[in-house]
Formats: sequence, structure tokens, C-alpha cells
Amino acid sequence: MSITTENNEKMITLMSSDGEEFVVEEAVAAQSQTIKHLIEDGCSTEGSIPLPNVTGRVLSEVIQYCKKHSSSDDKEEKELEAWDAEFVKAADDHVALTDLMMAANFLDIKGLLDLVAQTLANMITGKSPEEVRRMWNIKNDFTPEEAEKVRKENQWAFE
Amino acid sequence: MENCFPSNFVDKILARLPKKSIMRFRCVSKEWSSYLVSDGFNKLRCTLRPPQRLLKLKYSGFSYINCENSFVPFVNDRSFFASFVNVDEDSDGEDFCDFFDGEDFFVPSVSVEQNIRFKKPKFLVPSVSVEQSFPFKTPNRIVVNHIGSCDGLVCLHLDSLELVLWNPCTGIHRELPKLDVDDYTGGTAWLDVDDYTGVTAFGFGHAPASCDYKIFIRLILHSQEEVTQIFSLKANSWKKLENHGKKMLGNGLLLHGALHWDDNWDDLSVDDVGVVCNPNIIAFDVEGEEAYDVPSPPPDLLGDIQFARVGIIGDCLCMYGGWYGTTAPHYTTLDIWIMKEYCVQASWVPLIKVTFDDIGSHGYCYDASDMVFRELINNNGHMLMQDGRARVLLIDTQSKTRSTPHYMGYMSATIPYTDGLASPYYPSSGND
Repeated sequence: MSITTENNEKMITLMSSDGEEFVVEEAVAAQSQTIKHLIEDGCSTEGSIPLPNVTGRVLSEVIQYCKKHSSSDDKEEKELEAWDAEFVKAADDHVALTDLMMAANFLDIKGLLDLVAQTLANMITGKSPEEVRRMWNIKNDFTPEEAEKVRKENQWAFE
Repeated sequence: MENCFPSNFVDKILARLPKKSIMRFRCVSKEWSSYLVSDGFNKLRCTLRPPQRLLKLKYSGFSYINCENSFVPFVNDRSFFASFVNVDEDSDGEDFCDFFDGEDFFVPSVSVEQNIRFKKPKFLVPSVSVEQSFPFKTPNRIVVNHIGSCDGLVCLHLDSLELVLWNPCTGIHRELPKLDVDDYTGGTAWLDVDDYTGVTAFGFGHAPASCDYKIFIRLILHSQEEVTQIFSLKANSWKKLENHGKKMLGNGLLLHGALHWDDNWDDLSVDDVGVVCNPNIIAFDVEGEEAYDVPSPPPDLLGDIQFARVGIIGDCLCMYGGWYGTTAPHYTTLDIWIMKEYCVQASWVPLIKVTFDDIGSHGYCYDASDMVFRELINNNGHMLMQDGRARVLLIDTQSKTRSTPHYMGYMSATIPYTDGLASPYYPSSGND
């Protein structure tokens, strides 16, 4: 079942992992290569497209991004850049950004993936290995000797 | 180990980091330590940011002396520094490549200023992370040949046939095991053409399927036996190849997983004007370790030329040719052809005629066969070349059939270099 608006835009329904439904224009949703392929394969004809890896909170952000980027073809590039900057700023911390990045990765939205990846990269550029471990919950599996050795090898990167 | 980072998105973040952060984060965990210098990560990083540069090795206290109208490097102090010159793809051509620097460059006695329409000279890469001390500082060793570079690894030939690999990004470097050949006295044959013994050809390249890097050497022994030896990073040893019967000479140019040379061995003895050259291109597949011929431009396309050399422009092989000596009107023109589709002879087309209309004003004899293509071309169709006298020339190839080069200055030793984190050890994690 698909609905059309007065502009004759085809609408589709996306369902998040926690059961929230979002009705969006197909052109907006198709910015996600994953969804585009699902539509092409006919998965959208019966009800909504389930997205088991994306929560409602994250999905609403993703849709916000897609809406902006599908409606602004002829707008100023600078304006869009400024919008993007505000958008990632609103995501606030690395946890929210990481969620957003995982969604962008799963949904295969290149622009969003690039944007969030670069934001996260900028965020961790100056961090220490210890801070990075804490950020992503990574276990330090070096023995003290090994840690010393690898640190020594890459000493210039600490200076 | 390649491409199997557990979290399928963190790699996309890490690939956007500056080199210094990447090397620091090798300390995060064992997995990160090996992943961040792996082939897969390096490739991912290259797809995200593909900067192409010239790697310039400079001697400290390096200067040129003017010796009978040719400039000879004069070394005061045998230590090296490496620095990089960015070729900025986004620039409008006005400041496409600025690499004048009072300390680094010999300023020729003849002014070349009038040919330069570039903005104020500047170094594009000032930061410490790209300027590393040259790691091989032992006295009495100098770089005699810059063999090549691939994925950020630089292969150099120090004197007495010592070969080294160095990643200027990570600073990791190593000496390769000595090549053990009887009846070999050292030296390079193409530097000493009267005595055909020594190394005739070098090459350095990547074998993608086996994730290996290999060094190619062809030697002629005192017994006149011709020997080809291959060093594999994976095997960490040299091995002798069966004779392939091809006569490579000089440094092989890496393109599409193969090294390329022009077969101009016989040209070395050519001194009679009027001999029209019939160039051949020899290639060596780094993965399969087999030599093969690449079709050169058909004779009717080449016309009457005395020499032809192979080069690389962008992703294509090119050939450039002309006449030796000073016989007007030929000597002022260099023809460049390009092979649009690899190994398809019909795809050879003329690219441009370069006219050197200011020859003579520099006060020395010009020989176009000295020209070296440095594989650098930007979006605006500007092409960078270096000639045998260390002059750097910029040629505008766009929508023109004829072009006059801009002389941009002098660089000593350069090799095309693309940023990368490949390790000189195999597997990438082991540094012992």
C-alpha cells in the first residue's frame, strides 16, 4: 500500500526497531541506497519497510537529514554546509554521533556517512589512545612490554 | 588480517584522521596496531584522500656548482631531509605548484622569472608530520638512485647496492637483505655505459593479490651473464628469475601492477643522425613475475624521431620522443603520445607538441631525451615534468596541440609519491 500526496509524490512508511513509523516521500527515503534497493525489489508495496538496526530517535534524525538534502538541490551549497554543521552539532556527543554513523552505514547514505565520520574523526584527532579506548569501550590487550614497544615505535606521534 | 576490522564503521572514521593520530592510535589495542598499518586500511585511506606529491630528498648543505654549462650536485654534508611538495588538485593553475624556497633550490644564474606566472612562492606543506629526517644517516652513504614509491613506501638505492625501504609517513624503515651475487662488482650500468656490467634496471611495485611488495633488479655480471633478481617482502628474500630475454634499462615505471621500461638499450650507442627509432615498451607484471611487451605507438603516428621514452601521465602510459642534438628545427620540439587504453595499440593518440622556444637562453645544450615525466597531472590538464638537468617544467596540455613549458625552478632528486601507511615489513604488523 502506498499513499500519494497532492504533488503526486509517492509516500512510503519506514518502521524503526522500536516500532515507530515514519511516513516520508519516496524520493527522500531513496537517498538511502539500502532503502532504494528495498523499494526496487518491491519490499515497500505491502505496508512499511522495517529497519531493525535503527531506533526511532536516530531514524528521525536521519530523515531530517535526507529531507534537507533532497529538497535543496538548487540551494546554495554554503547554506547546506552550514545546515550540516548545525546538524552534527545538535547530535552533541560521540555516543549520539556513533549511533548516527552506524545508521548511515547500515542505510548506506554516503553524504551523511562522510559528514558524521569526518565529525567523529575531528573529535578524536587530538585524543590519547586511552581516551579512544574509553570512547568505544576497547580493551587494552597489550602486555606492558608490548605497550612500551609499540609506543616507542610510534613515539613521534606523541610529540 | 585485511579488511576485517570488527566494527564495520570505525575504520571509516580512522581513515579520515591525520597520519599522526593514526600512528598514535596504534597503541590502542593489538588489533588496531596491526590494522592501522595494513594494506586494507591503507587502501581505504587512499580512496578517501588521494593526495599526490613529489617526494623531494634534499641534502643539507646541498648546492650546485656550474660546471661547463651543466649543473652538478655538490654535496657538502651527507645527511638528508625529505620534504614533500603538494600538487594541489583544486588550485586554478595559478599556484598549481609552488616550490621555490630560498634554501632548497638552486637559483639559476639565468633568470627564469619571465617564464613564471605563478604567485608568491610558498611551501605548501610546512608541518612536522610530513617532514621527517632521512633515517639512513650513516656516513659515506648517499642515495644514488630513487627507485620508486608505492602506497607511501619509498624504495631507495644507497651506494654499494644497499637497498632500503622507508615510509616517510610512519618513519618505519629498514635495510633489505644484501643481494648475494657472485661475479658482481657493483655500480650501475646505465651510469657507466662504457662498461656494461652492474645493475641495468630497478623497479619497485605492489602485488595486490598476494599483498606483497617486490623489488626488481636486472644485472649484467662480469661474465656478461644477465640476471634478474626479485626481492619479495613476503618471502623476505631474493630469488633469481629465469631469463626473460628482455633488456630493461633504468627505473621501471609502476602502472596497473606492472613496471614499464622503454627498450632503448641500443639507443645508447646511437650517434649517427638519421637513425629513426622504433621504440618498444617492456613491462613486468609484479604479481605474476612475467615480462611482456606493451604495444608502442604505430610508426605512422610517431613519424621520424630519433628517440622515444616511456612515461606515465595520470593513469595512462605515454611516450615522448624527438631528435637528439641540435639539428634545427627538430631539437626544439618534443612530441607526446598517450595510450588511452592500456595495452591497446589503437588507443595511442597524440597528446601535445611541446615547443621549447627559449632554448639557448639558459646557456646550455638541451637534450630532450633527458626529460623525465613525473606522472603528475592536475584537473586543469597541467602536467609536471622534470628534465635531466633537474629543471622542473609545467606544461598546459588543455585544449591545445602545442604548448610552451614554464620553467619553474630546480629540484634535486624527486620521485612521485602518494601518501600511504604501508609498512616496509611483512606482515605489516611485525617490525622485528
